[in-house]
Amino acid sequence: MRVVIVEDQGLLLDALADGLTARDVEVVGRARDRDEALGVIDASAPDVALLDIRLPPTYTDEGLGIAEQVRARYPDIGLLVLSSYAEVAYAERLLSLEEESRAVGYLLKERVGELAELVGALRRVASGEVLIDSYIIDRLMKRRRTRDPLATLTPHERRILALVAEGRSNLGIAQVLGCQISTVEKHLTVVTEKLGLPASGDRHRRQLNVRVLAVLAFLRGTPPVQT
Amino acid sequence: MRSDGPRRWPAAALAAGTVMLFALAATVLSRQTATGRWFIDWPLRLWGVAAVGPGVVVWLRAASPRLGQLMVAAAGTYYLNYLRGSEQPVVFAVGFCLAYLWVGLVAHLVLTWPVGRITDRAQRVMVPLCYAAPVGSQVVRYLVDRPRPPWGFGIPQPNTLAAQAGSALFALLALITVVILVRRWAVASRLRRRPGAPVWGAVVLACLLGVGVSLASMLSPTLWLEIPLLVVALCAGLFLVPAVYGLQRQRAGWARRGLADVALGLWVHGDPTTVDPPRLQQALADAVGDPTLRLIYHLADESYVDIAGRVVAPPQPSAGRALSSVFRRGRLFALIEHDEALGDEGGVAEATIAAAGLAIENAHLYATLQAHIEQIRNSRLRLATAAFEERRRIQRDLHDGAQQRLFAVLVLLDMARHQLGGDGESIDLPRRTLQRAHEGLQDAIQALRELTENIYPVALAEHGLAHAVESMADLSAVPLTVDIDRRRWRPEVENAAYFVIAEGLTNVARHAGATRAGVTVSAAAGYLTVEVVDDGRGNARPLAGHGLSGLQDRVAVVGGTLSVGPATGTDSGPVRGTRLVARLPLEE
Repeated sequence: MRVVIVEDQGLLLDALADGLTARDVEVVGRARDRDEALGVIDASAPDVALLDIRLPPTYTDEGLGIAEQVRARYPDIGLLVLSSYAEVAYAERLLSLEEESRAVGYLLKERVGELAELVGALRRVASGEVLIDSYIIDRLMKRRRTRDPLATLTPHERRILALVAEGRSNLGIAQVLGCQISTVEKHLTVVTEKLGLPASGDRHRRQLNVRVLAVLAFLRGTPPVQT
Repeated sequence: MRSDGPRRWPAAALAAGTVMLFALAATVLSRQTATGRWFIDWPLRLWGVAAVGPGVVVWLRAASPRLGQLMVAAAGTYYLNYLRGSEQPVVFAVGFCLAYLWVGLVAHLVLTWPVGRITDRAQRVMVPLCYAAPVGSQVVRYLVDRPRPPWGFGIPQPNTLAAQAGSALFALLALITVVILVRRWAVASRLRRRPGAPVWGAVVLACLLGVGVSLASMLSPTLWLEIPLLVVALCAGLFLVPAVYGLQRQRAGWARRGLADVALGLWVHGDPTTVDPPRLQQALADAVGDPTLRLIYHLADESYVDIAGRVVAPPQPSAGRALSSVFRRGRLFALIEHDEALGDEGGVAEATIAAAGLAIENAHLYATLQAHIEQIRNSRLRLATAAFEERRRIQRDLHDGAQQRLFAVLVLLDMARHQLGGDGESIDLPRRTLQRAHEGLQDAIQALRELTENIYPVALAEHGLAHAVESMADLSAVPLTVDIDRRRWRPEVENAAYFVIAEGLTNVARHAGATRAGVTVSAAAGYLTVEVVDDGRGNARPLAGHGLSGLQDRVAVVGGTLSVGPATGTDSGPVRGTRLVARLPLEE
């Protein structure tokens, strides 16, 4: 897997490059700001770009700007964005890069401390999956609602819903929970019925991503996306 | 002025006493000059004594003692004519020559009335003439006719040529005086006419009576016309002076009351009309009855401006106009240009100046205060903005500096952990230590992130109020409905609104015992209205402490208002809950 790292802080950039290399990730380029990033990506044709969201000159959302340009130019390059803040707005912007989101991920920056997980996330994004940091999903799940439909879910069902929102497949969920995939599917049918989410199987990646968006939209309190 | 009374009274008392004694001596001396008719004798003998009273009062109380002094002097010299009753040749000669000196004094009085000073050319010519004529004509008569005592009112004397010439001169001067008075009335300012047409008429009548007396004495040797006319003229003069004086006092009182109103407007009511220079000038002019009154402000740079703020030439005194200076705290604040006659009315000019001084100073203070308030408001906003910018800078430094380096160390720790690999006994201890370091650093990064988020709400600046409040709502302890206008506002307003909501929600979580809460932010009529409502116990008191005053400060910085009250209208039941409302102006 060929990766380009875009990070303005030199020490972190080097550490990340070394750490990923040590874990058999091919770091084909590194950049510290937007222009450099676009040049490096042009030159190196990576599978995934690992982007810090806050970059010079304004330190706000330059990373997302790079993601938009890269997606427009090279639709096949996966985009994993790292952010210090759990900003739902940024996650949504990333998910709305295309009509049907794919190959994007939004993680909290402190996930760099678990390089094994980061490598896993890079691989999933490279293979076209969508993933959202569990911290954001947690926050959304915990949001108190006047009439809370989540209250009708059992703790087990809530856990499964959160994992769906993070972008995991049924198989992935079964692995996380240590149970049969059929059990996961059974629970999911109940959850989608209870919450009135669009039903979807796990046959296609496209449906998986639609599922993420639907759950996210639901959690944020807006009507689910209709497909 | 009243305040001058104590200094004037010894001189006035001495003069009055002298006149009384002299009157007594002179009339006793001239007992033989009596006509034998009491209604002629007594008015004539007592006129001078009677004139002393009003004369002393005017001397003591009027703005200028001149008129009073002239009256007392006229009263005293009046008794010189009784010396003509003396058999002693020298006393008789003095009495004869100076018998009509008092007429000169009365003429002086009438000609300079109501000011008491010689101000124009007519007066400068006429006043000496009026002294010279009665004395000169008597001296000539004394030398030509060689009169012999006893002599006096009511004692028939040969109507010689010299006597006729003297009477004719009297009549002529009296006529001229009448003409001067009438002309002066015609051209006088409103202020000068203040004693009123009847009084002017009476003065003119007294003069005409004088003319009559003179003509009678010139044409007819009989005393039957002359003496009663003289008595009437003297009595008229006697009653006229106090009447005029009283009227003048009354008018001055009115003016002072008007000025008191102006001053009261300043002190008691803080009346803004007295702060506005054109209105102040009008109020002063109305109060003192001088429509020509003008206010001229003196600026620190020695220039003068009128009430409209136009620069004017340094004012100079001119005919009929006087300038009064208004000093406050030792500095020339303003000049009041007014009719000269204002100075004649007891204390009116001084009272005007005092009132104007107060008003001008008040206006000055008001303007200064307004300027200071504006400055303070601006500097407070600048300080608040600067403080917020400083927080932003600290937040960035922590985030983009320290935190990023900590991330790098975290990666390195993870790498070390990975490099150690394996499960062998020998590396178990360092592995565990590394694991602890890794976890500790993660905790530190988490703590730092929470700290930086509290220092400055990044979501607010980058995504606006709606988004920042929704993020905040994720962590709310009670179910929350959020309805926020998604537009962006100026940063100061967004900041204030954000902190109102944050403080409100903190309070809901801590004290309200609420089961739900709502946040609404809406923009209408130039204001952003921020509302935090809960259905809790409705005890807003915890907010009354530091939290509320802190919020009030934040809201006041952007010119907004904050109110706390029960959240009525949520149900039809009993009053419950708390409603925190901030109204923030959208425009500066």
